[in-house]
Amino acid sequence: MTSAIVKAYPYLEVAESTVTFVGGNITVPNVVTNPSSSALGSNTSVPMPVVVQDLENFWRGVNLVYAFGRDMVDGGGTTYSYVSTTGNNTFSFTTTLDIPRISKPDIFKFVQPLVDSLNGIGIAVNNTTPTSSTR
Amino acid sequence: MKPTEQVAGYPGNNAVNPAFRKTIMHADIFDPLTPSFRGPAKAVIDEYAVFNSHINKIRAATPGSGAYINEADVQEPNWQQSFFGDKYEKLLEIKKKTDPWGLFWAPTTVGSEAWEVMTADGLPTQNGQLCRAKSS
Repeated sequence: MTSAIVKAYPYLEVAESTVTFVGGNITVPNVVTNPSSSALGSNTSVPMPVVVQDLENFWRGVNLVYAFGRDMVDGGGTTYSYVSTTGNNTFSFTTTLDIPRISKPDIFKFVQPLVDSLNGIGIAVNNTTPTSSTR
Repeated sequence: MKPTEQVAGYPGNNAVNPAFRKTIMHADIFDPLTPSFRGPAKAVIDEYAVFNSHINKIRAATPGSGAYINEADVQEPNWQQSFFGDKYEKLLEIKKKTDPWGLFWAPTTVGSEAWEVMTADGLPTQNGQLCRAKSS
C-alpha cells in the first residue's frame, strides 16, 4: 500500500482539455496518448498530431504551455504534461488541462488564449473538444 | 498544481514537504536509457551520471525548492532539505524520541544518516548489509 484516503470529499466534476504536438523532422507522426488522461478513462489519443518541424519552435511551444500553467493553477486547475523523446532527434508533447467545477464550454474559453498563442508561433493546434469526469 | 495551506486546510500542521506549499510546478525526468541493474554496474553508473547532469539543471534553477520523496532519486543530494525542507529538525526530534534504537530504517528517511547499505557492486540498490555509516 502506498497511499491511503484520510478524508473523502463530495463528488467533484472536472472538465478537461488537451494540447498535443510533436517536434522535429517527422514524416509519419505517431499516435500520442496522454497517460494521465487514459488512466482516468478518457480517450485522448491523437493519431495525427500537429508536427513542428523546427525544434526551437517546438520548445518555444512547450514553454508557452508551461507558462500557461500559471493561469491554470490560478484558475484552480492543474495540468499534467509529458515531453518524450521519440528517437532520431524527434519529440512529442502532450498535456491535460483540468479545472474542477467548470463547464465544458467554459474550459474551452479558458484554454483559447493558449491555443491562440501556439497558433501565433505557427503551431496549428486546434482547441480540443473538452471532456468531463463521469461518476 | 497549487496545493497551498489554504487549499489543504485540514489537518494543517503536518510534515508535507514545505516546497509543495509554494510550488506551481512539479517536474520529473525519466531516463529510458538506464541499463538493467542486473547487468554491468559500470553501465548503470555511467548512464546515471549523464542523467544526473540533466536533473542538476533543474536543481540549479530551483534553489531552496524540493523533491517528492516517494518518486525521487534515492541518491538525491542534500535529501534532508530536498525531501523535508525546514520540517527536518522537528521530525528528527520525533524520530529520536520514538525510535531511539534506530530499529526502523530506510534510505533517505528521517534519522537514517547513521546507517547505510553496503552493496557489492556499488549500485544504490538495497541488496547488501546494513552497516554503520562512516562518520564524515
